[in-house]
Amino acid sequence: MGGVERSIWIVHYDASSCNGCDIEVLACLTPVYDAERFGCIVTGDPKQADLLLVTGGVNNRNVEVLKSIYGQMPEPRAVVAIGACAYSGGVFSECYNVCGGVATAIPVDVYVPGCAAKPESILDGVLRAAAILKERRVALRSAPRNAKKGSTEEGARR
Amino acid sequence: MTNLLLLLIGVPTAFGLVALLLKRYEIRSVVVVMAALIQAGLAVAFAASVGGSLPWQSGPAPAFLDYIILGLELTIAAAIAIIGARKRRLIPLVLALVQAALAIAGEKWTGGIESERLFVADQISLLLVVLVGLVGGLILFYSSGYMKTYTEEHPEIKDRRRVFACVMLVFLGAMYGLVVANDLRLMLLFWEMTTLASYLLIGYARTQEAQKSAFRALNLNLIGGISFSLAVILLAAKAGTVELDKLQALGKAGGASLAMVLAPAVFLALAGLVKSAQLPFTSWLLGAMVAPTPVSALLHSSTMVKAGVFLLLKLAPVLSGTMPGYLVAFVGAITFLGASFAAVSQRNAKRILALSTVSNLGLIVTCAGIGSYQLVWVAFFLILFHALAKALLFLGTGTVSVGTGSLDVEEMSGLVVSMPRVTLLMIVGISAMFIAPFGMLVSKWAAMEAFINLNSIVSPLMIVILAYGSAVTVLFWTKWLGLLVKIPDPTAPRGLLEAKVTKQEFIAEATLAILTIAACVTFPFVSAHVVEPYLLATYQQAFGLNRGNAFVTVLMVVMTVVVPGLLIFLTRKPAAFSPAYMSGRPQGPGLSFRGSKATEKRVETRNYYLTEFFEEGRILGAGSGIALLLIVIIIGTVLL
Amino acid sequence: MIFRTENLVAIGFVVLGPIIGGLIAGVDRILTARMQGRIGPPLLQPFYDLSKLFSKRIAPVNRLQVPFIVSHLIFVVLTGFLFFEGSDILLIIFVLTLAEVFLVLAAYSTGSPYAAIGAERELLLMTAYEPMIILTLVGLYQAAKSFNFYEILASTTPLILQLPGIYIGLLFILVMKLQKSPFDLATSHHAHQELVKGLTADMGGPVLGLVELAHWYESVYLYAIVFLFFSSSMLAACIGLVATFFFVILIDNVTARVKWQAALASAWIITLVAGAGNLVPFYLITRGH
Ligand code: SF4
Repeated sequence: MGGVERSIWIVHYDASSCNGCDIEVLACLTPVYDAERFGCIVTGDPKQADLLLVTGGVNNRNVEVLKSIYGQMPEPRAVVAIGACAYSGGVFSECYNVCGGVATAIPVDVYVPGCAAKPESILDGVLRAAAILKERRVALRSAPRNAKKGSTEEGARR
Repeated sequence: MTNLLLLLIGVPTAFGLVALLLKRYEIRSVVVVMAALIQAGLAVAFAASVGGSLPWQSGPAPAFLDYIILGLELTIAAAIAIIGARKRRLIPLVLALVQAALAIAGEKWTGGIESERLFVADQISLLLVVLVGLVGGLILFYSSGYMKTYTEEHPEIKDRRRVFACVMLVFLGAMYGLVVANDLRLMLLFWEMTTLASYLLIGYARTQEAQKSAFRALNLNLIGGISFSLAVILLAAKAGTVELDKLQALGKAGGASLAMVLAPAVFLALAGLVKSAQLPFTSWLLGAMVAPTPVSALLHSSTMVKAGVFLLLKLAPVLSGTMPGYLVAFVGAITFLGASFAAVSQRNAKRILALSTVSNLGLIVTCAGIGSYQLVWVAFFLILFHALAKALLFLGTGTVSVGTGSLDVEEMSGLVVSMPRVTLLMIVGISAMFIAPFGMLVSKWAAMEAFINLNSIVSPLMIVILAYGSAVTVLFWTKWLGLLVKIPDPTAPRGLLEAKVTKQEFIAEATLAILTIAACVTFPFVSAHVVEPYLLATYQQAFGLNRGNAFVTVLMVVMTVVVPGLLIFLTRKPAAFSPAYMSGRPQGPGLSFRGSKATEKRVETRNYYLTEFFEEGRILGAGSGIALLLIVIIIGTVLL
Repeated sequence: MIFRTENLVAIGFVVLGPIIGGLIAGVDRILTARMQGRIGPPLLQPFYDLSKLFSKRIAPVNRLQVPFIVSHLIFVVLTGFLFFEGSDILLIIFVLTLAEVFLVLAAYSTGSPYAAIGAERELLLMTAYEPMIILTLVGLYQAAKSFNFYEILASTTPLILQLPGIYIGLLFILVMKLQKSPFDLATSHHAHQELVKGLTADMGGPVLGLVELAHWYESVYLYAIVFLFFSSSMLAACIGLVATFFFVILIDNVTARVKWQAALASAWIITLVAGAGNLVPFYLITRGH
């Protein structure tokens, strides 16, 4: 049973988005898009999550929170950055407190474009991340148990 | 054998008097420890030597004993009257005078009667003898360490440790006498001795609260004593005897002879209800927790309250199937339910323990009141397991409260880190109180099956009461257990608070923990070789666990100890810990959030106490009302 | 002796329990999705989830967490084993309490604020449903005169007709026991996030996998108890089980979470009215002399 790519538990973090992308993320769970078809569940607990979905850009206040949540996710894990803000800060990039995209804090695996991102493309991004998760699991299996693993891999870009 | 018994009663008493004379603490504590060991040895020796052919019976009383008993009883009454007069308390004064008057007036009926057997020891007596010997001895041993710390920590309380040691020892002597006496006049004497001793011990601190509680205990138990006196007089007047075994025999015979002894039996049962702190008399035991920990442990585990249920259990063959018997059972059932409900809303560790004692005693009283052979089996084991586990818990709580400086269970949060060794013992005690394989739950399960098999009108009601009561028991014990095992910071150094724990305390607690587990593992054996013979002799029917269930329960005990123990051992050195989830804003090791401006916000969690539903005052108040009504009906049924 | 059918069934439970339990969970999720107008996950989704959980790497929160969770699983399995082995089911239910206590202690031990509230609430739910479970078993005993699973199973009269009230009470607490809405206040399978995950808040990866596994095992013998009510005819049993299963999921989907007060009070009142209201007269009618 290849569970990993068929069971994607998501923790969603709203960094400093305008809520546009958040609403689209939630739309993925509705009957119209039904993310659970692919085994996706949204959980509130990073310790139970495989995928970190970040909307909005990183600012000086939440950079630690983002790192902490990412840090508490068990390996193998992956990060999907959603929307223009998560890529570069988007329309907020010039703000005094914004540091930039999610990649300024944690390694990102998949970028989902849009402002706001469409639910279809969010689902697509999640499934691409799932494929990355699968690769990581294979890599992790062959890696010795206690070896520290560098978590950055070439982020797939869309 | 009689000599051994007299030694058993006399030695602790004598040592008590010696302790009173010794001024130096060091010497005294050696004497007390010696006394503890010797009396425990005597208790076990006595049990072993008479255990072969039970019931063991002594010869008749010497002729002059009558007068000695009367004299001693009047002395006790006079002592209580003097205490009452000096402290300006009217009630104990009056009650003591009533008791004295009854003793003198009763001579008219009881005076001429010679008892054929002064002492009789059956399996129940021996259970109590062994429990008093072992548990009482360990508590004494513990107190030699604990009272030192106690006196140092409470400079405001006058150091009266000499009296303390003396009374504790005399108390044990009286308990031995009580559980083997067959002559009810003699039993009454010991009964009153325990009353007086508990007054002195509860009032040890001499604060206002201690005085109040001590007098409450004295008053209620004096009322119980008067009921006992009335019972003896009634028995002598109606049946011309003062012997317990004759009362049992007459009661078992049924018909006219049962009618003859029912009234005395009921008055004895009332005395038992008071002593075992059933509703509406519960307040004395709850108040008694102001006393130093060894006293609470002694009162709650093997002595005092157990004297009450002991008497009820002895009366079980008489009361079984009678109207008053059922009513007594209902008093017990209400107490069981009310006290377990009330325990949910408590934060004070001693109060939780006290209420759980009351609730367990309630269950024992229920068993004794209905008195079917299966329920007597249950009562026997409830007494055994409860005495061991409760003594352990009281001693443990005492030790912990010295370390944390509080009796609040919330303060015990994280104790597994700060006092790992004592906590382990506490966990054994708590587990024994309620978790499945350990004793108490086996007893409760057996009680359930016994009620089902009873095929009586009261059965379904009792089953419902037991179902609710045992659910609540799980709630309040697990809450406490949860606090103990909480680990706020896995990297913190361990055992910081354990330095103050004296060696005596730890040894006493560890021994009790081992005894508890041993009792859990060996109870099928005890059942087969001790309880079943008793049931066969008394009820001509025996109840035991069938092999399968005995196997399951013992397997469970072993697994409960071994599985987590082994797992904890195997995982004792994990590579790393991941900190608990703190919503993305953890601060440092341990449990705290980072607030704004990088301030640290400590995480504080508190348990649920559900006061909305389980408010103590309301529950116990309502329970007392019902119980009082039942008691009035009980008296009514035998008098009319 | 060793090869009684009972023993085979019991071993079968240990081996096949997770498969049956997982399938129950899979059907549950599909049904839930359909009720919400979604397609839902594949039937085998719970197995994918479990295999994924076991492939994750996560350090425990403290030394006690993992031992407690493993003990929880072991005791849940043992309860089921003894249940199908024909031991006294009343005794076994008390053993199940022990298993639950281990789970609660695991949550307590983390010290995490979310897990602590979850643990408290789970305890509360245990208090709420325990009386009804006991009354259920006593009722079954009274009807079949046995605490043995197989002897109750063999009873010829349909127990549901004798114990309708007890069945209703059982249905009510089944919702609690399976952590379904409106009584999912301790933890939740859905994305309610105010407690994070409550009871299981600080459990991740394999640790959570063990909890899931235990939950599957548990659901198997809970439904086995439901089965007993209809055991007189195979057809009735199938209909009864399916209906019960459907009902629990329906309730899960049409109700909102309640407060603990309501959970405790309603469960106790239902136990008293339906459970005891059924048991007491039934006992009095059927008691022997
Ligand atoms: S990308 Fe656009 S919609 Fe999304 S958070 Fe940024 S501003 Fe809002």
